[in-house]
Amino acid sequence: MSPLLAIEDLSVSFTGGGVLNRLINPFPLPAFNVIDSVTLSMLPRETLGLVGESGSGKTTLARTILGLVRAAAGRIAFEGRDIRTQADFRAMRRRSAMMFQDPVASLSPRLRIGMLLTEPQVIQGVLIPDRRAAARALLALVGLPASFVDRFPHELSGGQARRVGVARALAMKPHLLLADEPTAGLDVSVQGDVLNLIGELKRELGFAAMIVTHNLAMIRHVSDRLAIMYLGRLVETGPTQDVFSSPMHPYTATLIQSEPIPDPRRRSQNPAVSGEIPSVFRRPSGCEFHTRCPIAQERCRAEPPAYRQISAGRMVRCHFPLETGGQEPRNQPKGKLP
Amino acid sequence: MSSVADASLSMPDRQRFPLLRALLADPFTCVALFLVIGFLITAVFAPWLAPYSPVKIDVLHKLQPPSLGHWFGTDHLGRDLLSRVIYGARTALTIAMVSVAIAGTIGLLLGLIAGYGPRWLDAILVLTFDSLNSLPMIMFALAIITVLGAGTGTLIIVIAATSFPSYARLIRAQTLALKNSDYILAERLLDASAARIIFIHLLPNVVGPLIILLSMDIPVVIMVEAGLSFLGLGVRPPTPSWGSILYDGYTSIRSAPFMVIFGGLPLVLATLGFTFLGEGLRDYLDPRLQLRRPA
Amino acid sequence: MTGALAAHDLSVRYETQHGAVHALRHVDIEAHPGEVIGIVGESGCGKSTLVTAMANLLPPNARIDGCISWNGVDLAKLDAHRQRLLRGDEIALVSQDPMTAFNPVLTIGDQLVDFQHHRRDLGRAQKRARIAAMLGRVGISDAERRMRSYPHELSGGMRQRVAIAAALLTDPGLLIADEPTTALDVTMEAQIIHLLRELRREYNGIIIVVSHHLGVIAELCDRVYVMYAGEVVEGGEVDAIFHDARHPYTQALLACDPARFHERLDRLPTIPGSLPNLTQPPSGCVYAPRCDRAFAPCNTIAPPLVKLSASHIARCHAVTTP
Repeated sequence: MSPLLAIEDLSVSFTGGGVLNRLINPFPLPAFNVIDSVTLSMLPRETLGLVGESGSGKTTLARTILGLVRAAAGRIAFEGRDIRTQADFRAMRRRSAMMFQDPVASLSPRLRIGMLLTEPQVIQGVLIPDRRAAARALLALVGLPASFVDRFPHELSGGQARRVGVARALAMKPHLLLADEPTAGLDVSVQGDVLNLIGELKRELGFAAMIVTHNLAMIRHVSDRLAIMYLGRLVETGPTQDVFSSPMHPYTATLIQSEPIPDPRRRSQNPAVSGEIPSVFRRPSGCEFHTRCPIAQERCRAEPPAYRQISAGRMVRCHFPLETGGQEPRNQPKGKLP
Repeated sequence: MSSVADASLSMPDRQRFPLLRALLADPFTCVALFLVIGFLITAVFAPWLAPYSPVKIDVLHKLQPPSLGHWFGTDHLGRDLLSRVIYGARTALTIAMVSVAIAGTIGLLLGLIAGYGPRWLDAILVLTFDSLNSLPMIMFALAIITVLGAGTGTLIIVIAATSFPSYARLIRAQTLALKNSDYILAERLLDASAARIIFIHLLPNVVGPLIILLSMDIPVVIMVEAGLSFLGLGVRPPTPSWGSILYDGYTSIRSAPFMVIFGGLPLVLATLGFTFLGEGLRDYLDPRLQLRRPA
Repeated sequence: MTGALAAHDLSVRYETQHGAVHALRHVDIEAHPGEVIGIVGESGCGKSTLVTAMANLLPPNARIDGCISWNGVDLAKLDAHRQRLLRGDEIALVSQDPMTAFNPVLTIGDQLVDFQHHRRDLGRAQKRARIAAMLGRVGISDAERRMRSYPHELSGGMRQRVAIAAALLTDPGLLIADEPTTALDVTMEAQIIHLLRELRREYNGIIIVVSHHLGVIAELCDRVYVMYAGEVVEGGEVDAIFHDARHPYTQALLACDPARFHERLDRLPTIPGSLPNLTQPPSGCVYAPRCDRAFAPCNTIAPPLVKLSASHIARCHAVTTP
């Protein structure tokens, strides 16, 4: 199957000020990469979990894919076609959609929900005979009552606004949905609701979804494949089940072990990792994780590891990847929970 | 999925006329609202309310103190002062509202363009705003009046030209703050045109503070108009203006002190009315003060 | 009432334009020195109101019924001055975002000196020495340098460590940690959990951890109170709550947490329905409209607090006969 989305060596760099500043300022800040040579692809109908902590560049990556942030280098291809110009991005955005992290803030505050839901069609020039009816149909799709067409965004709860976000994203029947932290700020009992809704609609409408998150407990139930980011680089990708059962990159293992388990009988002993996440301004030499890595060696400080394939579908950026099955993550179920 | 439907039941009923209710709740704003409405009615219905023509000269009855025939007395040319004050309200409010509306519209549009447009355009516009702002108002007014001659139109041009930069700066700052907000990014992802983003999504969200500023500037403009008219640089005689009534009263303050009082009183009341109304509006609309308002 | 801290039949309502919001109703909790108490619940359950009431920081439109006693003294009956003293000396709060707890224009060191203003017996140098020692205790290695930095120069995890150090400086009898790890990344969260667990070995006051995160509660607490819609619906030893939950809400809440399942689920479990309107709390059980085990009395009669064991309580008609 040919990939829906293919990214090759994508980099995004922030420079120290504008052109003028660089000409005048005798001490310009060096440019630094917030996204550094990311290579990633997605198949149609696939769910990819893009996982990382704050500062890992996961949101920037999602925004770069849709052209909201300009890439410094690399290549993006969508449905087999290279995306180079703004016109290409526009054509791609017509077949994709994004859900923002803050559902209320991503809805224009002075417009009613009915207007907001049908706006994508109006902008794309799709003729809709009855805007209210179209809005009601979209509300029904995401399980909200029709009376919501006259509501304002600030009158919705977090879960409801999230549903409106889903409806708005799916109004144009996209082939790719990028969801940035779709469960941030939601209670666990509502979080499942939103994810189930996305899952159902995915089966029905057949789009691919990239879910950007730091929530490991949630993503393992939702995604087919995981991509783990650290300081703007991908450190590991692979099928979700495999990554959880046998992480290869020490950072992935760390993340999985750090997640608190809701079971007082299996409390963690020592924190899996010490130290702080470094800043992209001062990216560590060699492997960027060596400052916190429990198994770092001399080579890791000097030489950046290559992003290489270990087995079918599993890529890792590490000189000394953990043995498959050798590491026994604490979160591995010993017995089935009730 | 039924979960979401139930929550709607707990929504409080939306009150009708929330703005009016909020304004009437504060005694100062309430009084201010009645003053402003009173002045508006006076200005609109001046021909019906004024007992005499404001320009009819009757030198035989000049400088008469208040009487039943002339409630406010007559001025040094024997014109009925009450009629002149009533028509003066028309002059003051017309000039204030027209010039503030023109300045507000220009400021709104240029501010939105500067805030949302490309950076080079922003730089040029900000430079323009700053240079206009740095001109001393009176000097600028004198220069324009020298070129165009004194009169209502000139006055409006002077006031609009000197006040729009501050409105534009306010709108630009608001727009810049919202430019990278999630909902504007979301609109950009939908490929909404710049015009659509500016007029449908940015404008309604930046206009609130501008309306407050405009309403608080109306009394300032009324004062400026009166001041320039007092100096003989505003509306041309015989058009009645509170400023020129004050000037006429000032020249004969010993023989007819009532002229200064009746010329000055409406000025004070109008200024207070618009200022307090502006503050009431600000309290209602300013999100930073919304804690004081019931949810 | 035996604990050092106890709330007895505590109710809090907020007077608003749209009527009174009954944010907390008939809450009974107690805590003893050396214990780590967890308060868990979803948004709107009243956990923040409960801890603000205990810290005596409720807004002016709040009306309190019942009592909160601290070493036998009823907090509500104290005058303003004594309340303030108690807050400064005995009760310390660590909030979700420590950035807001610090003044951005003062250095960490200066602020921590100010936090000790009750200690008139100590000089400035002694206070700084105490700070350095305390920062060391919360795992900040270069304490002297950190004392000279400003709050924005610290990372989120570091700020939370400093906030904990600040809270412990006054040697409080009660340390309230309100969502202490919610704003942090998972690797930092693990470190803060570890730190709090280390600290309690030497600390013999009460620690109250408020969180919506079941994992954090399970990692840290000895006893747990589960709250729903302003009521404590279940309370007990952490093991009883996580392995022998009796209240249907506790069971549903545990069942919703995706972290409890390692096999991929096609549908994540949820709790259907929504919170009741707290301006008119239902006369029966607050959870009855969403409860799958509700029967006739649940809708009309408020369930009693059932004592299941020495420490395990649940407020439910379905568990009346254990």
